[in-house]
Amino acid sequence: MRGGIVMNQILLAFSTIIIGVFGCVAYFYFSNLLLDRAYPAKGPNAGRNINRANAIRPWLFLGPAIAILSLYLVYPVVNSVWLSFHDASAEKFVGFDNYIWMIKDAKFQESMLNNLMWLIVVPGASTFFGLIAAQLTDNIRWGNLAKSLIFMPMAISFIGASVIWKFIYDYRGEASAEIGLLNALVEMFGGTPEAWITLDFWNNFFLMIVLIWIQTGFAMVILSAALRGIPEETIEAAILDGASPLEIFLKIKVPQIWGTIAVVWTTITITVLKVFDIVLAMTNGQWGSQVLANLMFDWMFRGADSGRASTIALVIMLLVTPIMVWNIRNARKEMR
Amino acid sequence: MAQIKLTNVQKAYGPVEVLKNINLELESGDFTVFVGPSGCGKSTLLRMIAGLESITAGTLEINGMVMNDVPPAQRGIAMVFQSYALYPHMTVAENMAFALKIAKKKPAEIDEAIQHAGEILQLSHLLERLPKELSGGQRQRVAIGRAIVRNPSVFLFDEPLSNLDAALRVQTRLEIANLHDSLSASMIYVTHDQVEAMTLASKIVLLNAGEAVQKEGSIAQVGPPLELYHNPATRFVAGFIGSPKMNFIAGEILEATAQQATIQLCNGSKVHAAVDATSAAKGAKIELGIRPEHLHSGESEGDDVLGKVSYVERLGEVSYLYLHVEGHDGLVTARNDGDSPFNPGDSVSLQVPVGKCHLFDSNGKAFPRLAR
Amino acid sequence: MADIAGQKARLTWAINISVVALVLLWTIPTFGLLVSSFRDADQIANSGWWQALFAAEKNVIFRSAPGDAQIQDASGYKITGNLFDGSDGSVLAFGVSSKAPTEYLPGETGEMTRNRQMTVESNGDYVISSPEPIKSRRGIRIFATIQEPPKFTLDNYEKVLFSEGVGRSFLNTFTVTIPATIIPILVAAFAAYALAWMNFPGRALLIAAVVGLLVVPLQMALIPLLKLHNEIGIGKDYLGIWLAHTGFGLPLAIYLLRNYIAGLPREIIESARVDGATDFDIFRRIILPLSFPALASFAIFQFLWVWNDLLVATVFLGNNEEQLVMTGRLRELLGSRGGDWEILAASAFVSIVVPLFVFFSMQRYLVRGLLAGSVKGG
Repeated sequence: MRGGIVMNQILLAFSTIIIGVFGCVAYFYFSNLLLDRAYPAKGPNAGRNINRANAIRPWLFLGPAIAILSLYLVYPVVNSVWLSFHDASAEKFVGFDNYIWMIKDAKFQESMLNNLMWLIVVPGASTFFGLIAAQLTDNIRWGNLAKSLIFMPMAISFIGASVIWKFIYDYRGEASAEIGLLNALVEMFGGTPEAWITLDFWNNFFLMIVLIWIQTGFAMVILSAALRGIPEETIEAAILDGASPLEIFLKIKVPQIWGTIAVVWTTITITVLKVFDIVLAMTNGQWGSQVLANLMFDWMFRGADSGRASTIALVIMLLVTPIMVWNIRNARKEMR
Repeated sequence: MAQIKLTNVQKAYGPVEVLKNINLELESGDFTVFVGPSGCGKSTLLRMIAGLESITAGTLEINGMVMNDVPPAQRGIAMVFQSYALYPHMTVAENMAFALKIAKKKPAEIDEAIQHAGEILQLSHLLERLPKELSGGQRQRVAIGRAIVRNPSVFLFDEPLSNLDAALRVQTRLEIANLHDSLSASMIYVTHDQVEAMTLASKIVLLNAGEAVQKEGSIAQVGPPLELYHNPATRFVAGFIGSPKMNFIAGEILEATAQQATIQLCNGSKVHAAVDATSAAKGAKIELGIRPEHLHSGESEGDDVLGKVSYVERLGEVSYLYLHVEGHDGLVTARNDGDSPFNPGDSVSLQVPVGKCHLFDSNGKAFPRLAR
Repeated sequence: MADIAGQKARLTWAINISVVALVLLWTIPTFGLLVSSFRDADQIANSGWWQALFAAEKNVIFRSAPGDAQIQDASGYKITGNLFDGSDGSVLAFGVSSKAPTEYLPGETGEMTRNRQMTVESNGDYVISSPEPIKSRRGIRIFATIQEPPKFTLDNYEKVLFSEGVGRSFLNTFTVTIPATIIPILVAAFAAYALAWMNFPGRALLIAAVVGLLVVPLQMALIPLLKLHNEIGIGKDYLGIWLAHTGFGLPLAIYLLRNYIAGLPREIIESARVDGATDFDIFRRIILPLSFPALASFAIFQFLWVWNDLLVATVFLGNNEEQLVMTGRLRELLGSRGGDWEILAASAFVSIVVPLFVFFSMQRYLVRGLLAGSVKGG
């Protein structure tokens, strides 16, 4: 029986792939064919027909993408705004009640404060370590191997990373031997072991370390490419001018990659604003470590309050917006 | 009947007019070269004929049919691009077969066309290679091969030699000339290099750039290469064709008869030119045009201009003298023997042969030259 | 850069050492869990993983063989046996009561109540003798401090895969991931081609919209979409999560592919047009084959993202055996088996082995995708 269910599931997945892929191809193929039939590029009206077909064709190509994007990303933004003005079950209009509740809510204030700390620490630390790692590994023979290893956490899920780090922070109590690396080290240097992730305020930083550990590889890869893109001549000129390696790094290289540093910084900032899995897995927001994304999740599932959850989601959206605007402006500048 | 006919063709990007007033008739079998300074729109004109750019106004006819709105593939043309535009994921044979497959030709027919093109271009042993495994010259030949298999009535070339090194460029130039003879197809060729234009063309179309487009339209002059060399219609054409550039020295007309014109140059010397300048008033400001290869520094034959050597370029076969002439801004260039005896600082007497002079009015228009 | 005259060897050393330190910092956490996943459950709980190669010392309470096994000889009744049952190990100390569990050294004889005596040798052999018959069904307690040799085992993996439901979750994750990776690619590729090479009013606006949607937080989308899915009857089903991942992955897919396709040489596309190819031909025969690197980059991104996702799976899939994915299972285990590190470590490694394999085998494409995917700064 069980085997039958598993087989069914595999069949379902495969038929979905096939239906999905063939559906896409068929849609594009036949819609194009139809367009060519409707406006043939021959005969007395060839010129007009071609122009018409060319005006319509982009929309055939874009159709599915626009439909999916509107439904899965644009509509929810609008709907969330609507939900935020309604009560828990989205039935009654409540005006600004959810917003007023939110501002007064102690957990929300804690989350904002914690998110702020995350925003200050994580992007900065990841970019800093990434820059150091990029510069150092570019100068040694086994640099690519080192890069690979530092980059590796990128492939690990946040929840997997949380397990890995929870093990590091593990606390066994005074009676038994410490099996968490951190407490073992603390003991070795004569300190007292602690249950780190329940430590009010400081536990935030232990959670941040997990994200820094994951994001440093990303920063390193991007910054390393930027560093290698710096014209060799400017560095050679600096060597002839007598600059030390540190001076070359700080005064010649870093200023030339400011743009990339900003990109890395903002990309990690967005990840930080959405951080959820790590907090959920390590503390679930207890001991003063709540963040917005997890608070929203709490209100959505445990609180079953779509009004409050949507209001919190909108706050996250609001915090992301400046970066969104900046990205769009940069993209437009580049296209010109 | 002209094979390609452009009537009042115009191209504008928004308010910017790039090409204006183009009236051209190209005969079957012509090797036409579009040449002009950068930014003159010569590539745009070619791409309009190909159908890759829309025509803002005017009509384009190929073989008597209006082609303005016909897609590129149905115009009976084939194009060789500057970067060759080979499909990097297809072998040489697949590259050449692509257009024929799209046109749903029979496999046997496609095969034959590829073999034929391969033989003409000596590509037969390379048919299974990918473009990245070929040298620059070989890629160039594949690009031409891709055009040949389509058996077009017109070949379009967009600066096809600009990515080759100097030696290969000369060789490929000859090959293209041979190809034109053996295929007896029409070719339109775009280049900024006047040597290519002079050597390949049976007809040169020289295009204006900048303000002149608004005043005179895009076409500066159309004609066989030597016609443009000997009888340039404007100062711009005279300056563009020929290397080193023609010298232009300011002066004014002392006397103009039907046989010749007498001119006083800016340094005071008087010269005679076999030009009919009777349309100009006495005392009119003109410019004398004289090519470096026609300025002799030998025994006095005609009228002399005195110059002082500023520096000498010795190329072995010839030398070029760059001279100061009083009252003239810049330097006057004159050709001399390979082992020219002159050195910087020397004074040289330059003879201006009566039959080699050109005269241009203050608008840059040439006065008609007289045969001697 | 390496050939510049007069570079100091000391500096090279300092750099090498720094990089070694960085690499260790970044790999040790994972390595620790990996080692632990192969260790015996008892050993994990009693010693740090860094001691895995050394013998572990621990206090254990054994029970002797039950009373039925006693034999009678001239001096009275005896129960004999071995604490380790044939496996390796040595006794450091033993005791007869919980009050003094380490009273005696191996080879000594401990006095017990009712005139019984107990002797334990360091190899684990024990003898309990008594003048009276021993009435004990469960055996007599022996307190011992023993030293066990390192034990490595695959038992943890066997256990999580077959009895903790991780095996099933592994399959569920694949069921979610593969369609959710493949379906967005085609949709995005067509859109990307249109945005890169076709002229139509509103193109720039659409590209800007895609860039904007890149950063829209998923949190925004969850509630409205879940309501929507429930209304049309695909709430908590695979179809729902495939569609959701397709939607959420699409902006990155379009952005990556558009950048790549727009970078293809214009002349190749024009040449195909002169050769008579329609837009559909150009897309299929020129653009798709040439865009393989970008397609691969995105596929890897989407695969890693979907495989590692917890949020979308929690919202759009159920919590039952048929639908729980690896990340969800791991979260559940963290709650229910929080201290059982052998279970957690093995489960975590089952969940990260696939992404790690993808990562190491296709790192080149991943890096290329990252470089193309981050919006370039001014």
